[in-house]
Amino acid sequence: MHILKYCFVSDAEISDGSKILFKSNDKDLKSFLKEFYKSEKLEYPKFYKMDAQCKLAFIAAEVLFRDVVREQYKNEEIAMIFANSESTLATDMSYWESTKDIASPALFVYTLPNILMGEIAIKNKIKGENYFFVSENFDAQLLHQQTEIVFQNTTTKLVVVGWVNYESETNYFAKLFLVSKSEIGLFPFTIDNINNLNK
Amino acid sequence: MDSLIEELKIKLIEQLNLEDMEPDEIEADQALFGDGLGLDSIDALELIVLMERDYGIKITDPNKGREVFATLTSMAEYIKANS
Amino acid sequence: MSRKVVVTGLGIVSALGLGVEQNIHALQNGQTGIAPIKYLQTRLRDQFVLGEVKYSNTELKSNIGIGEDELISRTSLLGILAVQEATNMADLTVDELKTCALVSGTTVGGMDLTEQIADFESEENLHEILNLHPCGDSTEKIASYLGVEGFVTTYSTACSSAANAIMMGARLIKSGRADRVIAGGTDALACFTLNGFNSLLILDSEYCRPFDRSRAGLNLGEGAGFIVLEAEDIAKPNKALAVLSGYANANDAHHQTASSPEGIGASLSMQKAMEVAGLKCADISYINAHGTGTPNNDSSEAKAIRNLFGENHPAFSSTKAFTGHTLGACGGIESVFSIMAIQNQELYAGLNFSEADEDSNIVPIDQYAKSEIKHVLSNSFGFGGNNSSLIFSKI
Repeated sequence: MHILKYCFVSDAEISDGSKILFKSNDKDLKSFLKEFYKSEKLEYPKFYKMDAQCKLAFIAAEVLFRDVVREQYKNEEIAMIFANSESTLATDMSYWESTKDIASPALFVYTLPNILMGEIAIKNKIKGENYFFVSENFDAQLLHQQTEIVFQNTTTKLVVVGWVNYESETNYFAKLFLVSKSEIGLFPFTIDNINNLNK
Repeated sequence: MDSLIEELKIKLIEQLNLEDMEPDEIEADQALFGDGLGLDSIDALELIVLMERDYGIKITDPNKGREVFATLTSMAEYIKANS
Repeated sequence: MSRKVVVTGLGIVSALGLGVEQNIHALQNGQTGIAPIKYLQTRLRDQFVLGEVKYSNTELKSNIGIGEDELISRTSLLGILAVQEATNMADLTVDELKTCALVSGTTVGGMDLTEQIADFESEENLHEILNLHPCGDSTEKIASYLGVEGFVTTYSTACSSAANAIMMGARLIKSGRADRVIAGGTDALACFTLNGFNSLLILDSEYCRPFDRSRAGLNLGEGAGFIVLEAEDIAKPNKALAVLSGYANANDAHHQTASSPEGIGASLSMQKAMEVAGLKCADISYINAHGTGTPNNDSSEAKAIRNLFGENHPAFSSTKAFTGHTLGACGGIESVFSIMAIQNQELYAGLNFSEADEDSNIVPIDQYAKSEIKHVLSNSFGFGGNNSSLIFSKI
């Protein structure tokens, strides 16, 4: 298993590991991601409807899939394994506020953490396995173990591995890895390497 | 009627997070769903919330919603007739 | 190399009752657990019916032997009861429990406690309550109550959470990472979810009618369903109830909440589960469908069954007209039903059905019946396009 690419988003900065791809003076997540969306001319209006955590994961996945020859992989050959500690706490709270008046369906939809994988799947036509874990801390061992298990399913060739947490407009991060079953890539996908990259 | 349609344009953009759109870009008789403005089923549900909250009109049948939300004109007509 | 995974214990709590016996008795006799709202404090009380577990939190606590004042979510209480039954049935010793893995699926976590906070600023126990809010808490509570010290993790993939937990349990054993896994899911009813599903306009105010042409939505329910999975090579003799022979998950990649009209994700997960089990369509004796009763899910699932299995599709039904849709727990609850169908060689009816959809034109079984059952396929589909299928086989 090798990491083909990775993408980190935090503190108004998007990096692909080796270099900073985008930096904004606006620390506020919503404005910062919109700035990136505009500068990249993404033209995917559904983006605006997503909640903050979903936007965060979505943008990181856009960067991850850039330059990947998507046609090399069938839709069923790409899987996703995500985790976080917050589940969807921020949106749970906004939705709960809305129920005091009239419950908002658009907010309710995003009170499930796996919806962000659904959005990435729709955009990138991914039909493989997809799992979302809720664990207290970033758990490289869990992500590594799950990726290994999913690769035992012979159809899977590529796994998008992610840790995405949105706490507030200024405290958020996404760490996404594109992991290939093959022995070619940037680094071997090992627990140590994941932890080192996470530092 | 025209002022109601103008009002709806602004509400639509705000309620449905159509951040890239300006009110002038939405036409009164443009289809809101499908190939028109491209709204989806969750948007339709949010429009139901908007109708109840801002105009006191309750729509409980999704099929009725589809009819009412065909265009801004049909929405405005429905509001006029029911408020 | 691959180890065979057997099921040695079952545990269930649902609107049909506490424990396997009460649940199966209700299924055999066609008695639904869905009823007017009694326990959930909601302003929608008179509008909907629910599959509530018919015990208050105080009663559940006393049943388990937990102090009345202990702060613990209903989701955890339901989970503890089901896991307790499952591990007792499997005759797990204290030492075996200690090394067991526990994989649980849930969507609401401690929401039932959080939503009772009237005012965040004046609530004395705010910190304690919010600590119980995350989905992982219920799993930790179950583990600590039962003395499970092995690998513990929590899935949250909407309504396929428990099915995914069971699938992962099997893989942990097959790959030699674990010998014994308790897997399933638990979810309590909350105003949070009732209001949310209401805002999506997919609740039926009457009793739900899965696969019926007149169906108008689902009834929510609550409960927990867990099974004990063991590697066949370490399981005690004569304890195996069924084999977990197949499993798969696929994404529908269509819409945040709606299923694709042709049931692409559903077809993929059913097909792949059969591949894993090495079975053909004709081998499946019964499908316990996801069958929520919403126009969209049932039409999509019916088409997937029709397309994959053709005109001579296996007998199928949805047991959600008995339990309501128990969200994150349904894959666990319906696994218990699927295994009992094999144990008792019987089929459970789908209630409230009278006429099939015009386009798929397939009819679920509407009468409880004795039948030869070898392989049961159980579907659980979740928002976010997350589709899972499990296959249980006769020993």
